[in-house]
Amino acid sequence: MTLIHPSDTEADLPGAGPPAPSVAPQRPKPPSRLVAMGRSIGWAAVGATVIVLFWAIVARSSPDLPGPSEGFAALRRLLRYPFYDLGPNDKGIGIQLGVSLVKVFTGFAFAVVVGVPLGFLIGGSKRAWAAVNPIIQVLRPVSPLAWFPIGLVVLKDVGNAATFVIFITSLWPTVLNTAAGAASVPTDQRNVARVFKFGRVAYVRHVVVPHSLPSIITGMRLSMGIAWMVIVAAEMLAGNTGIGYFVWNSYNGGKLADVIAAIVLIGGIGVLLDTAFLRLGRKVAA
Amino acid sequence: MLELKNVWKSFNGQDVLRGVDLAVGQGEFVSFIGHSGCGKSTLINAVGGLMAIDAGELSLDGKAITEPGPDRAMVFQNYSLLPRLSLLANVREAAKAARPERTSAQTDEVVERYLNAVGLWEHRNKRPAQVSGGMQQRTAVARAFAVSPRLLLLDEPFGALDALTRARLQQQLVDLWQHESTTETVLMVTHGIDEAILLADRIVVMGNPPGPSIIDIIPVDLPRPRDRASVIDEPAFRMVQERLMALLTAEEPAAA
Repeated sequence: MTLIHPSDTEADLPGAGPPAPSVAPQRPKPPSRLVAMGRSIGWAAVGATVIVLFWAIVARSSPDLPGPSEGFAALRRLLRYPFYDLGPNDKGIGIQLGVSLVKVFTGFAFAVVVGVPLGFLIGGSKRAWAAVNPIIQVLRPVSPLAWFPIGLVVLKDVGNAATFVIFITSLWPTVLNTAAGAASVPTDQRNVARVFKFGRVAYVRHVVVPHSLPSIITGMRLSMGIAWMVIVAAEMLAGNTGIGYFVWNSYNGGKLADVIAAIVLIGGIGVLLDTAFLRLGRKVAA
Repeated sequence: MLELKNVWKSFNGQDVLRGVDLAVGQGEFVSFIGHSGCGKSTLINAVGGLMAIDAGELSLDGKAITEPGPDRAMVFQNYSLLPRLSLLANVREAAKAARPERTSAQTDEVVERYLNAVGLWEHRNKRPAQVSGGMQQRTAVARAFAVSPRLLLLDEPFGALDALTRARLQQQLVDLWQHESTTETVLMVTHGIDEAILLADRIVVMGNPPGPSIIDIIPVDLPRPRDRASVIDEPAFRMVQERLMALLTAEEPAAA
């Protein structure tokens, strides 16, 4: 086989000899991905600039509020040594964020372990749904922080109480989304399972779980988003370690610039968490 | 032998099955034809054990049908494969679940035989979404045969396929039924007059309310194997075709 350079092929085609001046039709080029990406980054920069300008104007008229330059300086300072550890009241921001992430993932993991089977149960059985749903509907609107004292009494440790709050936070979206997925198995698939005498295990494994997987991931993504918001408040209450404690401690120490820097970092990590679950969801749906 | 005696079934106050009497002998191929809503799918589902009847008797070899069982397998109109399992796993899991008494070697042997019979062994590792509708329905046919049912129930199995694919699948179905399997009896719901005649020994014509569910049962006296190209010129074929046409036109709902 001979390799032909792409630019030569046209001349080799019969009827497209050298004298023929005819031009092959050109498909109009769609804008390249790089251009599209550059464009969206540009607009994001515009938005960010407007916010920073607004912040600078507000900070100028309010002397207690640090301006953008102080905020960015604090961010740079915090990120220079993120993992230093000078005793219980003075740790780097990386350690604080790490502590919070461990609490969030622990509480979240317990919520998945409890919530997914519970969701399958109430999604698959009308009786279980009738028994459990009213309880969920009553408990769901309660701020998870209200559970903090109960966690404290039962677990006797502020850190564990914060983890318990995250567990409660993550539980409801996980249960409800799993139940919605399990309850929406198409009649066709249910009939297949019935006609071919699928046992309970085969039915759950081959029909319910595959069908519910996308909504389970959605539930996990919602849970994680709320959990990451709630952890800051829970740690302010706990007053021990973690990013929430860091924010509160910085405020008490009069370091408002650190608070602002922490807000930016919390937001950034929130985006990363959300993106990770979004990707996971897409992968599962494929 | 499948027996239905004065079977009634209603949905939302509508009597869908109205006193159905029918006996289907061993080895028969019976087609059910009629307009939408005449209850032919309901009838098949009841025989499959997917729904309970309101009144009457429904039995297979003298035993009342109350639930699905491995002696009856179904092929649904919309393929109904499990979307996240490969074609092979779709057939194997169904065969395994319906026939737990088989060893896994026996199951594997049966699964391979029928996937080969429908020409899908090379595609066995693909998911349903990766193959055409015809291939999905062939998988569903293989799945049904892999259970080795005595009675095969087909609910408009080829309705969603193009004419060429449909013709090929009809042939494959008849070959499997006659030569490759222990399946004796087939009930098939269809919209196609030619399909009904080509495949069946008897055609059950069903009508709309308020009349009885079964308005006629027409025997098809054509020898097997039937050749698709020449059979349509047989006088017997013509006769059945004309009679079906007349019955179905008379039954046509006024609103349509």
